[in-house]
Amino acid sequence: MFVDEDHHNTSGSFSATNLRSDRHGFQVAHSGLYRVTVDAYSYQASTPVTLLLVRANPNGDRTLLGAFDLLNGESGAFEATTFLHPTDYVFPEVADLDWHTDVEGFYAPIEDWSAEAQVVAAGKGLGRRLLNNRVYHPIFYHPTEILVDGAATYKGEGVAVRSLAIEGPLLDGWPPPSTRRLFDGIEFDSAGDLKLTKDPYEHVLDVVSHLVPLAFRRPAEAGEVEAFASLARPAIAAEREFVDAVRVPLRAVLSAPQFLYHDDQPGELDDFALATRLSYFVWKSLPDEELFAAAREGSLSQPEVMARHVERMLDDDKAQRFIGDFVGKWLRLYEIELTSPDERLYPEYDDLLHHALQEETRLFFTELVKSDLGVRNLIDSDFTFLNRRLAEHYGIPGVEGQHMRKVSLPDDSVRGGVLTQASVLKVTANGTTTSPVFRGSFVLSNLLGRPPNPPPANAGSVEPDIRGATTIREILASHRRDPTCNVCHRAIDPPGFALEAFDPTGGFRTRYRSSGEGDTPTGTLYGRPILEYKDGPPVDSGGVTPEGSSFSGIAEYKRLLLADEEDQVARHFISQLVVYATGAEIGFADRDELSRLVAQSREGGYGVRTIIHNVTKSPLFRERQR
Amino acid sequence: MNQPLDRRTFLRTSGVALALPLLEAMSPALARAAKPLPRRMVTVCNALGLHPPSLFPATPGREYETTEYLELLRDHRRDYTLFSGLSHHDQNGRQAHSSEVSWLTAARHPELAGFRNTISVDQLAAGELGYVTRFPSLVLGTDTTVQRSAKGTQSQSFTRRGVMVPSETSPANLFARMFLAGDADEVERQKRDLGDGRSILDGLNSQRKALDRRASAADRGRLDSYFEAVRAAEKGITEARAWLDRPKPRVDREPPVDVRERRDLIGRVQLLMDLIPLILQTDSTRVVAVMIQELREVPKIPGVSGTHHNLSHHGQDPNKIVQLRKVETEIVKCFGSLLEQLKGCGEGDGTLLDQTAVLFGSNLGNGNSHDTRNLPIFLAGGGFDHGRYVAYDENDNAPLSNLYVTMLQHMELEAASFGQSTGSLSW
Repeated sequence: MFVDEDHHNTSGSFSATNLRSDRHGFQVAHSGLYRVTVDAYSYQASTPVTLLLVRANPNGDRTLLGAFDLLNGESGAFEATTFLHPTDYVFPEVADLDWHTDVEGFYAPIEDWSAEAQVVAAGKGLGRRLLNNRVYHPIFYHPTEILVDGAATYKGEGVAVRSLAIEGPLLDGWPPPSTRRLFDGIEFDSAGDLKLTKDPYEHVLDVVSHLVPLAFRRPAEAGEVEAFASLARPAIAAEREFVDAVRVPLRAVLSAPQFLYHDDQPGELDDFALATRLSYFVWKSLPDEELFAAAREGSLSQPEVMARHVERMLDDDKAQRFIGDFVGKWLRLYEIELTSPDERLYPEYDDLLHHALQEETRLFFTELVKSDLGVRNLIDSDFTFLNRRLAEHYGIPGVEGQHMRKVSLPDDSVRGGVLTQASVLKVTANGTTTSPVFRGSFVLSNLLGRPPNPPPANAGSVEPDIRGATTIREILASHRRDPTCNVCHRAIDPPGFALEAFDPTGGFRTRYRSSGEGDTPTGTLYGRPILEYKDGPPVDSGGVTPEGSSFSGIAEYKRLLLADEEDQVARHFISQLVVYATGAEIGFADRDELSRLVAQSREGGYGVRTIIHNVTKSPLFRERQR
Repeated sequence: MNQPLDRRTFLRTSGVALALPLLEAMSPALARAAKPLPRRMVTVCNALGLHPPSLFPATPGREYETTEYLELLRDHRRDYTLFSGLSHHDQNGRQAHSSEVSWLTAARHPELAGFRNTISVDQLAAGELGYVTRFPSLVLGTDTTVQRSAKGTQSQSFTRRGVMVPSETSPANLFARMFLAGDADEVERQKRDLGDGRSILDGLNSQRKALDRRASAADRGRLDSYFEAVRAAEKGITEARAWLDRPKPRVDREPPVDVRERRDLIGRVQLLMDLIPLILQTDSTRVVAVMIQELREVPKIPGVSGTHHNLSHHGQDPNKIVQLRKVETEIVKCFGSLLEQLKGCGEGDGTLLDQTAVLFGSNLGNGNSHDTRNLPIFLAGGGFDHGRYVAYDENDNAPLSNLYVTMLQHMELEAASFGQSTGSLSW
């Protein structure tokens, strides 16, 4: 990557550190939303190259803001909107370059370069740790030519950057609407300072009486506003600034149990409590004015009014909070950062893939909700959401560009459903190895709702081994021969065996990758031979379910689930939605109603949007447990 | 202590120069009524375990042979006891590292459905001691990441209600809170903030009756614990207000500069280890808990190219084990440096270490298999009989909680039991 300063002069050499916004004096003075635009074009690229926009800070935090594919000669302005703190900086980076590895002396070990030079022309995956099987630091290498001679003699693919712009903070006026909304009844002068027009305490009363019904999600009770507002009196008497004084009651309102807890009388919820429950279910926040209006009218509890609001709220962008939070908890995607795939065994794992695989699950679930698709899609589906990076990871051809879009899966694809999404496969593995026990337990607990009992206190733990001599199945075989262990493991292990065909990054595999014994892989990585790992023992992903059905791999296992377990998956999914929506566990007394909900939802093929509607109509949602 | 401390002696032995007046014992008048030296406890957890073959000797007892890691602690052999065969029962949790949250609490099945944590041993001690020092406890950590669940920076300290106490990850902040007086305006502002806080709590209390009337039985239980927290906060405000009027100890040392680079895990650990003797010496608190963790970054150690977490899942790969040992070597050296510094500070007739029980270990016995049994556990200082390797049954572990009871007793707190204890641990 180089800076094209005048569209012609490509002779200078530039390091990626030079492209950091802070090195050019762009340091934002105030935290806020900013628009980052990079104007760039592809350079000598015969295959798509990827421009990345990255935000980072001196702590070493790094966030991918956007990824854009550029084809040969393509150019354009690419933008991303992001929150920036004063210490943050942004910079462009490149990925997926063909570096023409036939050039002599192309890669160099790290000690040959100055610290500054090491990050020149940063291309993730570019020759990391690869010479003569020696392990180097995971830092970027670069072609000799571009460093020494500049871009003019560089033969490989690249991206040229014309400009990088940061605009902001992006605000809808000053003071921002949230401030105006909070200080109800107070005017602001042109500088954005408050202008008091009456006795300060009167203003405090205005502000508090505006906030209390909002924060407590119901009309204020007699004396409630005064009880909070009066807390500002000592500060007013001491002639402290108005904002200081009004902050005391505001803090109290936001610390009050009425705000913190959704407490109501046991039994049927009133319309305000229903508005609260619905709003925190779908939006994870306070009801909006329309919901409050319906509650004030007393019409929200009517099924058709409720249904109208559910439709409206699911169509709103704020429903993404529910979707992100629900899959974060239900499928444990909140744990996605807990492990990083081993850089030697999985050198292809990068930021772009890490971002895309989380988006896949979010968009997949969004589609189930949007199009009311059936629960069977959780088990297997003929579509998913991909960009080029993730499609390559899955071996699915014909997906160009780094934007995520819905893709029909080929008939013979192992993908489809949530279990074969890389996000789920990643959170159910550690960075280095997979365990059929852990993944099997995940399938039983999170998809089928039949969590296995915890292991007995004296159960051993499995010691993973990646040296290529033994497989996890061989290690597990002994406990399956032990009748005591087998009682549980005959149910736990089979789904895990089916998922053994997927490595810790969610890639499909027929052989385990090994750091020791094995064959040199025949494939290539970024156009060069793979030197980081060996192909170890073959993967066996067959098994027998506790009911005695045998399967040879994930495709057959999914067919078994579709044939036998759709109702069970639906039941567990519905119960998880109820738990999420109400914050209460499903009690024994709730089982009949849950069964009724499941039966009611079966008619439409367990459509996910229909299920959400049904949940909001159920007494489980509309009543508060005693 | 019988003899008032001579200032010169103090400066010579303390390793840190302190400006007078500081310790009560330095004043002859006060020294006549000198109180016994304070008892203290420090816990340090390296959350990814310690590679067992590099740590444990084959022979228990006093004559144990040295090992790769113990060699690093050679100078302190008589100052610590190494235990094996200790653990909490039922540590199978929601995920492989769930036992992090129960290391100091001994709660069972951490983070599984319906789990509620119990009080950690440090918070129990802090609660008993109260505001006898400026801070009842200090909870420190090396991972500056704020958890996605928005509970703050991770720690292993939990309140009685099972709420995590966020860790302080900035030694510079901590130093300022302990030792920098702040200008008059700032103190005034702090007092005003505390005053506002008190008004808010009064306001909340005044509504209790009305709320109780509305609440169902289940909610009343929750309100009870809410108002219990309000009362605790009121008490805290009163105590903290009192401490605001007492001068902070003056120390003749430059404030530390935070290590911001995430990769420099060892730099951050060492900075905390350097601060702990100062914390204890100035009697800023008597209870310190430290969690060592950095999951995402490759530690900045020569020859290490994997993240610490990844290396702990070494899968028997010799190359990874070599790197893991390099990381753990640096961490064990930090522990050694803490002991060194505590021994270097004289107190009474002995050293700071004599009064301080230091627990160092992990919630994982084996990071590769995520085994939560056979934890690596060191106990140093505190006036205990040290110098041995004590090996309990590796198949039928002794309760780690028993050691916690022993530590609480060292703190002179009435503790007949803690967590899963069956008694105290003597060896």
